[in-house]
Amino acid sequence: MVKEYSPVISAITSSQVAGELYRASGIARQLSLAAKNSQAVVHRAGSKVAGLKVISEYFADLALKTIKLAEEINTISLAISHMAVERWRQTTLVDHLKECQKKTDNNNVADIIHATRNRQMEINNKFNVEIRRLESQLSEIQQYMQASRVVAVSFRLEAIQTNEYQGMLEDMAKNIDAFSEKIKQHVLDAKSHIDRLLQSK
Amino acid sequence: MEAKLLFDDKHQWYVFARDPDKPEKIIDTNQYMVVSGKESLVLDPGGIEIFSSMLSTILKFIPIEQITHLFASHQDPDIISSLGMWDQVIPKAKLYTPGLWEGFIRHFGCENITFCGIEDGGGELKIGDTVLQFIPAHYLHSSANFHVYDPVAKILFSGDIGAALEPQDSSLFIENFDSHCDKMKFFHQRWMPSNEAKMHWLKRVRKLDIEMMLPQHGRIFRGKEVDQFLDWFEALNVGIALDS
Repeated sequence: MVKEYSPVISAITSSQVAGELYRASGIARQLSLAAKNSQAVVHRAGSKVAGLKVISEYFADLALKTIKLAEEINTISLAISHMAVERWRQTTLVDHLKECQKKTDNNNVADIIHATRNRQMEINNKFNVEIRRLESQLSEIQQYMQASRVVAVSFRLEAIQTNEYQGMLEDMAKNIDAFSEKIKQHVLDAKSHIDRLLQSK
Repeated sequence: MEAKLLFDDKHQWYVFARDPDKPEKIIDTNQYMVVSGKESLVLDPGGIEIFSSMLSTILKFIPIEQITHLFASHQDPDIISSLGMWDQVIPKAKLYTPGLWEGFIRHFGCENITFCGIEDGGGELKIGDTVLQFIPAHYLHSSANFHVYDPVAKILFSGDIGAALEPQDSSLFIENFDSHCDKMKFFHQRWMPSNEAKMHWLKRVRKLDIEMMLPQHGRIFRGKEVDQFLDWFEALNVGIALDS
């Protein structure tokens, strides 16, 4: 049996997830800028900071991937939101038709209820598939951010070994770490919205 | 759905419009939101078809608990047919709308939201620390109709007045007032029924200090375009269907 989540909570949840990811993608753009800045500094420092080159390139790549993924999740959330509202409308229609059925013995009403239920189930199945997809993409971003924080530590350690660029590079590593943490928090909030939906009746 | 911050000081005004996901044959609408402290007012929240886009867009800026008030300038479906859905997602909210339309608007579903009918003379509403005024615009076009004025931001939300019929991808702001008049002419002549009501509204609105006028369809008026519009509207003969 396919689980049917509350249509009202589904509509709210998908909109909340879209909101969290909208904010996360804004921070991912800042992360991308910080990564580009670090690339520029590393380039300027030349062979003295050769070890940081690979790390800064990794950051830049990670930031771009995060932006892309956050935008994809935003699109999925919006599609889920439309689906949730459509399901809500179908549910309301079925409720009204059931009331109608109590007042008439016309078979047409039963046929309409049957057809509406079929449409409702179809949307429900699609909805459940998309929710799972959303969860998986959120986990992917979360992993990116965990990786980003680990690499930020290596970046900071490497930066300590440079002389004239040390302060600047350390600050950059701190920024990247802070941005990654903020993104991770939005993703966690988005996941907790979904968890609440999945636990709802 | 496109979202833009129009005013940002101690409180904020946003516009939400040009929804690319809306069904093609329904008229494009502009929705607005005032945020002040922990409260907000969504003005003419729109039809049922754009509900999901509206909710998603609003939650990019504020959490759901902060959607505390709705305003419907009148009873039309493109203004408030989404009420039955808002009623479920923000059950503690208040709806401010012409009191005359209560029995009609409740047909959209209003079991939880508190219905606050505005008297014909208008009134005020405090959102957070911001006081907004309800400006009567009766018979323009609806028999009980209000606009919203913010004296601090100097913004007038003008409902269907200033509306234009335009393609989905048009700009949010007027670029050339003269060419824009062509897009507003038929709408005002056919939808607005009364020259007397028009003059009554103009007399009232000319006393307000307005820097931005926000219609529910079409483009936003800024600076001198507001006065240009008021002059243009004054000279326009409305209620033309009576001559057909």
